[in-house]
Amino acid sequence: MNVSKLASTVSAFLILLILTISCGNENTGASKNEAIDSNGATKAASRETIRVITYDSFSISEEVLDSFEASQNIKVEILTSPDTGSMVAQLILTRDNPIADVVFGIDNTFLQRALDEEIFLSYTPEGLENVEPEFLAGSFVTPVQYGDVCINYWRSSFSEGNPNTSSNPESTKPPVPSSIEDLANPLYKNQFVTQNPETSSPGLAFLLATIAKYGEDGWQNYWRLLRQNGVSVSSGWTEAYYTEFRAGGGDRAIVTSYASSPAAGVYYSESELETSPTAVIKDSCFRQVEYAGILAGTNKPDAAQKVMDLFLSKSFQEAVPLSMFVYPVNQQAELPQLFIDHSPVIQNPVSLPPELIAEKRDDWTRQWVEIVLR
Amino acid sequence: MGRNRSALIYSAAALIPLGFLGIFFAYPLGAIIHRSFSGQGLLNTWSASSTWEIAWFTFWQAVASTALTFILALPMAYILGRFKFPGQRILSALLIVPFVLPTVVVASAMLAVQDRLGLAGILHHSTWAILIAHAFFNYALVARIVGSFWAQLDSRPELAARVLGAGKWQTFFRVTMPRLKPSFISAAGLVFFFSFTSFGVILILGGPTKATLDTEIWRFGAQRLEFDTAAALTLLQIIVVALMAYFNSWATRHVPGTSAGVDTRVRPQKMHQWSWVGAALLISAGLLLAPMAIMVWESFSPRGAGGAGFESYRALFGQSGRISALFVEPFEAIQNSLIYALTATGIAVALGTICAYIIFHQKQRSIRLFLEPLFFMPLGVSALALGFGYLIALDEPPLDLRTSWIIVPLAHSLLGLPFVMRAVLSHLHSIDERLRWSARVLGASSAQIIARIDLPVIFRGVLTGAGFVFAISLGEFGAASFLARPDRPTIPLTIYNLLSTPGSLSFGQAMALSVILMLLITVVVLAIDGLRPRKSDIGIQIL
Repeated sequence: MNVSKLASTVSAFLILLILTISCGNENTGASKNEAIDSNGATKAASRETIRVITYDSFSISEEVLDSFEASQNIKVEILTSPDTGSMVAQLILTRDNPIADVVFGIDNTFLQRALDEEIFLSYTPEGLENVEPEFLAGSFVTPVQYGDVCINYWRSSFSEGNPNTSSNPESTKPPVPSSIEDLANPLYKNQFVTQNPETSSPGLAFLLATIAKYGEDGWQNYWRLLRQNGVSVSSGWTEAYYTEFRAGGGDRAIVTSYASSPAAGVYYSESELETSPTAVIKDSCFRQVEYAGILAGTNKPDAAQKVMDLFLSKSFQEAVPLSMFVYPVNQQAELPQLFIDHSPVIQNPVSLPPELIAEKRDDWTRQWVEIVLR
Repeated sequence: MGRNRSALIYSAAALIPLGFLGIFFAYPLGAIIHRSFSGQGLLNTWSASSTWEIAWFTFWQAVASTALTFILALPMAYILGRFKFPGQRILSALLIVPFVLPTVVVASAMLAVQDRLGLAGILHHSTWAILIAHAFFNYALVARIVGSFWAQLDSRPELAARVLGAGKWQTFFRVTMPRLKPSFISAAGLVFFFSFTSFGVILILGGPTKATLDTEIWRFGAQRLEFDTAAALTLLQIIVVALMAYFNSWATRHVPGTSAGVDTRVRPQKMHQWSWVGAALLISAGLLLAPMAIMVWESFSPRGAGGAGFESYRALFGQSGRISALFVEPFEAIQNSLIYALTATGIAVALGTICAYIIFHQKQRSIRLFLEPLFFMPLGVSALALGFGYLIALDEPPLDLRTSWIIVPLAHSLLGLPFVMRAVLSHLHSIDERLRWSARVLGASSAQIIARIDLPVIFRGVLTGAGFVFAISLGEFGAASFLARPDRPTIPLTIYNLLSTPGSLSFGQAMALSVILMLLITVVVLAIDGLRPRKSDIGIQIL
């Protein structure tokens, strides 16, 4: 092979590389900055950049972000971690020189650990008075949204009518499950799939729900009954929902998921749906509150405070349901119709104090593994 | 005079890849271990019997996966290495597709296959499911590395053996296998490393009762936040990987002078030769095609939805109603992935070739044995540890790269470098030394020797390596999930996000994007393969 062929190969490769890079820069550099800069080029000069670190399913309405950036003259950059646990781990390890200025989305299962490691700066944002007092957790963090982990079931596998009506062909189906006690009932044998609390956030939340309901000495027996009743355990939500649960073609009709899953199922459905194919056992929900805070290592505390105010603002809070499928903490924010129809607010979820979770969590999950998996 | 100068040049050149490895691998890893380490944690973890059970499981499932992959892929290596038949190029390119697919997607597809074949009872959350999945992903490693090496193997020793009366199988085991050994050991080493650090497969297909060092490091480091345990486990992983890498290098005794310099493949003539082609195709179809076919099917007809159609693809490229500031068009994700992959390939090819040359020209075997395994280490170490390491180490100028886009291709090139190095090295060794000597005698300079004798042979190796680096980068998930900026996601990250959302449309889009990924890698690998020299012009072979 002669050198000229080699040379042409290498140069073709380089040209391709340069082309792709320049194309890439054009597209991502793009419109967001343009739209703001058109309001006045001088504004760009004195803008501060605030970095927000969050988990990777974070979503924010472009409208809300643009209007914030324009009115406050702050540029917001979002960085993500694969999940909340990695995010908190990262923040603890980089405490002295954090990668961001603000963190969004630490939930109550990780909160205590984060507080103990003293990674936050204290701040009381505007709008805190609109937040339900039960969500508050001190001055270092601010509640920003909440979601509930609930047991979901596939509607058409169960009979919603009166099972005593003999003429009803659906009477061969078991009745709709109405509480977590039902999951241990042989009537629902081999129907339930849940996730490993050691590797999955909803899995952990459901375990905590059973501890809250049955007490620290009673939950073990409940899980023994579940095991006898054929509970299936997946490592993560995706496998449970999309492979084992009916929604993904599997044969289990009951799954641990979220209160907002029915609404999301309708929203992301291929065809228009009137009613959601799934519903929630209202009695089974564990409250997950998510918090935001200013990171102690930041060098832009003032701008960071403005971003925290944004999180509690009505416009941000009202956009939260359809972007992240969780519920707003600001009591003045209105829920979208989709949620009112398919995933209304859960009235009496259970929860456990963050300090207790932090203290006992490892012990509980270890016991759980013994009871359910070994 | 000449020898000293070239020794100096090679030593200086060695600084480049070694420096790269030091800055982007050793330093971040050292930093994270140092930060999280505690003597007590080390003691507790290393003395726990569960740690050793897990380490043992990690080890033997990797060995078993390697064995299974070899058994299933050797027939394919044979037909790629010995025969020429229509569609061969496309087949060879298609084999790499599984390698590139994100584990989440494949695991989902494999579970569906298990169900449809009625094997869910035996395979559900079993070790066999893990082994089969590893064979699925790593099939191309064995088929292409061994096949590519076999294709340029001088076939005359075999012919001589047959003439002297040896039977077919006798010839294979006594003449061919020993000469193929370098490629066997290369491929086996790589499959072992990938299986050793396998994460998604263990988690999803193995289920909650199966744990490897990698999954435990994640569990302790990112879920339980017990950093000292994670550091202790990472250290254990490094030690095991170093031992295996060293063993692998030691076992690779290159047999010089085996290259024919030309393509020695022939068109299958007889029936039994065609039956080999058929058998290899059947095995590969069964193993590889089934999950991929399910993915293609579900991109048109996703689970939970009604009929079949192009909705998923339309939604992928349309706005699909999500007006989020963080939403990145899948098209941009494709662009990002391509940029990362091209950059990573460029870096890996450059550095890998330099490494190969340095090691090849190193006279002392002890130094060779020390250097070569070093470059394999990145393949065997947890992506979480490395990712965290980057976050705490690369945080200040001049190395404030932790939020730069280049950190992703840098990490990928670390993973791809050993591929290029190994492929080039094995091809370098196969060149008959006497060709170089006679070229020298005839007055050629070192540069000329490299250009006209080495290059045609190693170019094939470079291309094999480049194809793999590109594939690795395109499909890599672990490091990218930590290091990629959200405004510059890769295709696997986007797929993962789609799979974490309920709704048949999201699922369909995830499958559709996977299909696009499959097409992309096929096209790229075909292009890379197309650059292979059909004939080289080395000229007369000296007997």
